[in-house]
Amino acid sequence: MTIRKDISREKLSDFLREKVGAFEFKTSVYYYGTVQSTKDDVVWINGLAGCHYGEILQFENNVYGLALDLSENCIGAVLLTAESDVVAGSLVRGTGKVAEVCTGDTILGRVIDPFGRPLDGKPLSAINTRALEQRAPSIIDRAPVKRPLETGILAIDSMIPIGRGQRELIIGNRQTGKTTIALAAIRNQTPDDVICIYCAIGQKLATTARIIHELTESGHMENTIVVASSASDRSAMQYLTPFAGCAIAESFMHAGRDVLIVYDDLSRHAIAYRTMSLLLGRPAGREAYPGDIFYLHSRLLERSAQLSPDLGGGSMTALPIVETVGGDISAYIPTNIISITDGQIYLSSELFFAGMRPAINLGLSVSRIGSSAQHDAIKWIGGRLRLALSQYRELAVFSQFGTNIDAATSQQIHRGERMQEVLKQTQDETYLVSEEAVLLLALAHGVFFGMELSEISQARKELLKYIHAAHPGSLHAIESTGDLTKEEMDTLKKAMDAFLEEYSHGGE
Amino acid sequence: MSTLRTPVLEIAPPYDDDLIRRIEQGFSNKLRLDVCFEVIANPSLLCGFVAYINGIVYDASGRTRLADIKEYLLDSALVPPAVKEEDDF
Repeated sequence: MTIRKDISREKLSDFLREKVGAFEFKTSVYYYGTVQSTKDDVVWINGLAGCHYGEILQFENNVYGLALDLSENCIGAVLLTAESDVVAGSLVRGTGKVAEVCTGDTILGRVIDPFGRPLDGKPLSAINTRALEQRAPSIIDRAPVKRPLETGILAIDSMIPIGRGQRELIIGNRQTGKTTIALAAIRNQTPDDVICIYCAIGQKLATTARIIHELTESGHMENTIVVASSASDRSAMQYLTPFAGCAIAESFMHAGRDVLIVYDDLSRHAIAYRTMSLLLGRPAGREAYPGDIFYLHSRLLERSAQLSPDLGGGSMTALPIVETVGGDISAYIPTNIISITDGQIYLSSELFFAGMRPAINLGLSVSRIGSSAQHDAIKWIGGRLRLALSQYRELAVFSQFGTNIDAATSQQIHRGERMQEVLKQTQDETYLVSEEAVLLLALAHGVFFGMELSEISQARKELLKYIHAAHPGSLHAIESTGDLTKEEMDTLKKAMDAFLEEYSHGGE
Repeated sequence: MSTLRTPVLEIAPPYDDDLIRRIEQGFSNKLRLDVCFEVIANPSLLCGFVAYINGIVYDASGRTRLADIKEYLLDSALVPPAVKEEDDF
């Protein structure tokens, strides 16, 4: 806490006198219980009549716990803090409160834990709080998902579009670029448009620090809130992290704002919940997860919504991340979350190591919202591109066997390779909608088909630079309307022809 | 605190039998129970008492009141209205 040295003694005395005078002394009356036993973060408590599910319990020496098991004879609670002086026989107090987190604009740009305590070493003066567990908006409260949320990644925006209020899973093995895609989506949002929340669940502190550094460096921390629990935190803290992020996001959504929330990642969240459940003695099911693991994630993800205009029209878009082992998307947690979400972006290790970045496997990726949440400028080419790429990938597999292929097939493979090359992006590179429309139009117009594969990365940059310089009006029109008129299209095609001529001469 | 099943009164010294009797009488009237405390002297309460009756704590100790006022002042100090309005506070 910062100490102000410019405060005069008199004013401080007046302040204290005023505050102490206004303070109303009351006898504290509360239920209490005694610790029966404690083991591995789980405490069994006698007494504590009137305790609620999810209530915060206060142990001696300001140690806190969360009541999660209410049985006839005793209460099972998990400890929230690492330093524990809880011993058998010590007193427990029910606080009568469920877990809450602070909300509001004052926490923008901050790093907090699931209870809203600052982790970035700066004081936090948030006034509003919101309970972590809330009901999801009802059917009548929702509106169809129609507005696009651009990620700046061409492959996603053109073929797996994400709408505001959608839940799109990012799934893949470790080290395939899942977090990179989520961070690119955060970096692509403008501060006055979308508020971003990044939930780091049980991550290494160094990883979280790197992400915060990246967001700060790129200037996107201003409209981002990081809710973090580290790998060394108690399971209960990891379990609460996504709910805290979700509660913060909801408060903005109900205020009519658009929010993007990233849960990184729900595999770790499931493991934390499994740990707690097993320690609480709940029956283990498939892969030792408890029976309510599906409900855990469905009640979290169902809270993402596009609210109806009557409720302010705010939205919460969720990008949950799930890590697969050995590419097995039919494991328990991946299948659960795939069935809850409105689509998934599957990142393949094979594509990643083959140099395709982002390593999106289009065959296994889908957006169930479809083109209804896509700009018109992108919509009409995106569908054709997906089909062409799918055909190319099938043909490419056959061509690996060294079979004789006809000229038409050979040309299709040639074009497919170039399409795939255009879709490659570095992790710092995000496109505007207008740039994506230009690149897609260039693909449809065959601008890159006559080039060598090694040239395409440079040519793509040159083309965008050329169009920015020669036709800024066209780009501006696409940005403002989201559409590409016939006239604009013709103008851009002519510009592309001119570019191609200039580029080929320059190449010579 | 092994005898929590019987009403327990933790009280800050000095106290006398008359004071204990009056406290017992007060609780008996309020709860409509015959309250008879096991009395434990606890100087760390500073003043006042803490009564444990039927799973409920009645905390009227000086220690808790000081803790409450400390929390209240810290909460107030985070957003002091005077600081908001006057820079020279």
